[in-house]
Amino acid sequence: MGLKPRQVLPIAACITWVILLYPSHSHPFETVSHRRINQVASQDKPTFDIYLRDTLGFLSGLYTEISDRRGVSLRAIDWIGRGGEAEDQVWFRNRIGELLGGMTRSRRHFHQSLRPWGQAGLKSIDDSSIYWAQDRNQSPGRKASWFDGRNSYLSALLAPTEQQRGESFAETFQTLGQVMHLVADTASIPHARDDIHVFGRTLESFVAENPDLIRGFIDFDKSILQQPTGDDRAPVPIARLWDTNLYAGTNPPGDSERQTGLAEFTNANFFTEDTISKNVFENPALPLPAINRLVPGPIEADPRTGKLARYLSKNRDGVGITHMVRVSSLFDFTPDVRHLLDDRVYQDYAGYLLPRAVGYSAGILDYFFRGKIKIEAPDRFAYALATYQEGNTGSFTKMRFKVSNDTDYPNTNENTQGPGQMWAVVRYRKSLSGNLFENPFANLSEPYYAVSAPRSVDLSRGSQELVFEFSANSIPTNSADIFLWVVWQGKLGQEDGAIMVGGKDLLEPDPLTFGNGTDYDCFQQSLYHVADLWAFPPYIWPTQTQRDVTHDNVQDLFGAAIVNGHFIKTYDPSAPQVATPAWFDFTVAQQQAPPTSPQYSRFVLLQDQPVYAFSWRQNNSVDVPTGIPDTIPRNYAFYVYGNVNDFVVDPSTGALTRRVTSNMIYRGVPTFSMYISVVLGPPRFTPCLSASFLLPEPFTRIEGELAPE
Amino acid sequence: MKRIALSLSFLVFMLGFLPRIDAQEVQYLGKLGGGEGGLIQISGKDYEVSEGTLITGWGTIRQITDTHLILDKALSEEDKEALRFQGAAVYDVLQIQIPHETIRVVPTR
Repeated sequence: MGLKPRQVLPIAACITWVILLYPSHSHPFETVSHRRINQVASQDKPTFDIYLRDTLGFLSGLYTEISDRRGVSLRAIDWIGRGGEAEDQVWFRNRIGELLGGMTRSRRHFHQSLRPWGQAGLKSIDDSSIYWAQDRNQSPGRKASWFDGRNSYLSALLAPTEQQRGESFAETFQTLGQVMHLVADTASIPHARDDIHVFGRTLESFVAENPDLIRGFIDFDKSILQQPTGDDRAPVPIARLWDTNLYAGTNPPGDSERQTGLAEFTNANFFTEDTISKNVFENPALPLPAINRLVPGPIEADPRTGKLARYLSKNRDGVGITHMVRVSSLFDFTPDVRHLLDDRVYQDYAGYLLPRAVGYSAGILDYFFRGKIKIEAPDRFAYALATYQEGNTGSFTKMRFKVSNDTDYPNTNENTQGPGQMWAVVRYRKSLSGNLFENPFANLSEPYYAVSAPRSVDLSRGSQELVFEFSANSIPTNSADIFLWVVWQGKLGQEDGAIMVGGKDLLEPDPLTFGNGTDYDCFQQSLYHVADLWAFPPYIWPTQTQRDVTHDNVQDLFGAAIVNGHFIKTYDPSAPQVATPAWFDFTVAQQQAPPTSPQYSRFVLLQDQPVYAFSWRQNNSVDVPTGIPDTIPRNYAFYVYGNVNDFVVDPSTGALTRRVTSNMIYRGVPTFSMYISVVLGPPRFTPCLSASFLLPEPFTRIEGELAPE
Repeated sequence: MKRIALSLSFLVFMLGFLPRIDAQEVQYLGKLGGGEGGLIQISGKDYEVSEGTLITGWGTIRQITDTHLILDKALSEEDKEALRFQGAAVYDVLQIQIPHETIRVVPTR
């Protein structure tokens, strides 16, 4: 059924009205340009990629694939790029609507910095983008304010599953991309000069055709991010990326000015075709720039048509621009000279605006992720201790470490204000086929996340040692690929509800294993089962001489022994510690070496060093054949290679690499390393070490106790 | 020199045909004095190895340090598919790090 002309006309009039009154997506930077600005802003700060890798544990940094809740998988950098596009879009019945977005969200993408913030939006009707960026109730479309980014970030950091974590990070990056879009739009001249010009060629369409112009990086003075806004609708100082209220209409910022917001810079220095003032201060709303402050510039061929064109240049009132406007005629005496903006003009404008769009947008990322927490080992060295349970079925229920505020952006004066909530989060992977101490090559699961109970912490620059409770969500000792985060939410600098994060890659659960191997003595490179007192009774010359192997009437074989009072203290090799009965990680009352099975003990620890050390105290020992005690306490110290079983990306090949420390089996005990008491020590026993691996009497585990927390 | 190269290639040949070995069967006995090579023990037998030596079932020696022998083994597409099928984390390369001196002893008297 066709429409009659009198029905068509009102509809057409309405559509025209909508298009004219409300800016569409053609007006600001094109969505493809926003995507690129966001991607360049993300890449040009290598610190962001490093942060993603080292602190957040993203194996491939910006290039890590993340899936959202619809199953769409993009790299982190592309989620940020997608945010650049999405801010101009509204989903309607499962379709992306840029026209709908242009008529709704894009109306809030304006900021005329010479007006009060409450009236700085489009024609003073809609909210300014400075408010929209911090509007918790954005509508229509996706909620993508700064605070929505904070919410999804916290959800990501505390997510219990890999899927939920990925979904929330995808949300976070897209939201940040949308906020970056708003910042980049302040480098779009119509948006900074409240111009809803729709038709014709614009800087924005020129940039869309020349995406390679989106490069460079001009930063701002970071101190602006420490200026309180005093405005409840834009309380977070990211508002200063828009507007620092420095430009008052008479003091346009120059090229080296770094303390003004980007909207101020754009407003003060550039024209749109509909906002070209003939005389300075003629238009109080847009006092600068003005034609009468320009000087004759070059005469050059129009890059598109080849016709000669005359340009006017700006050499004062802010930045100097060679091609500020094009004059419609080569001669001044022609009546009604018009001033135009062509590609040569846009090229010059872009040279100033695009590096700032990139640099100021990157400020969103820097400020969002600025809160850094330093994690350090506790005084006792081990982050977590657990007794070993048969089959490696035990778990860590507490984590202990030191934390401090390590924030260095905008500068090192960014301190917390009062206490906040703090959580520790541990990522781990489970073995899919048994005990990782027995088979470290067992296939691993996708990551799991254990989140501690929250606790209130007043985080300061000085380090403080804290204990986090994981009883409700413990970390299996039979796990690998351990990564620790600590998350804090509270007031940081001027921002309420800021989030600070620290991350540390820990080594895998390590079974520190030590035993009594005095059941065999090594003499002249041969092993003798001295614990077998039937075969090797106490040496009594001349009636019991089995221990005189060389028959020279001198006892050759010794042991076995009972060793009492074991205390183990782990430590960082750079800060040696000594185990004592009052300072230890693990203690065992006694280890025997009976003929059928000598005894060993082990506990499991989490620590952060590729090589660590431990001190082993033995209070005393008793020689079994004679019953003679040795009451002198002894302390030994050893280095231990940390246990590795994790995933890394090989920087030279990009290959995802699983690194595994191989294990061994010593007398029936699967382990990564083992420490054994033997008769008379290394010089005597070392020649027999290889042969001792396969001795028929396996070690039996004897329990010990952890030090109280 | 030629003899060393020949014996090394023979060693590579021999090791290349070793059957798949369980982790506990290989021990790293340390770097060879003054050289780039290292000494390993497989099932009680000692072998001299160098970077690039292929040990079947284990991979190619990537690095020999004072503390570790490091081998890389690239996974085939079939290996990766098997991991996917089991719901396991999939990776491209398995890097095995065999530590040196894993048994240490102390005297009781």
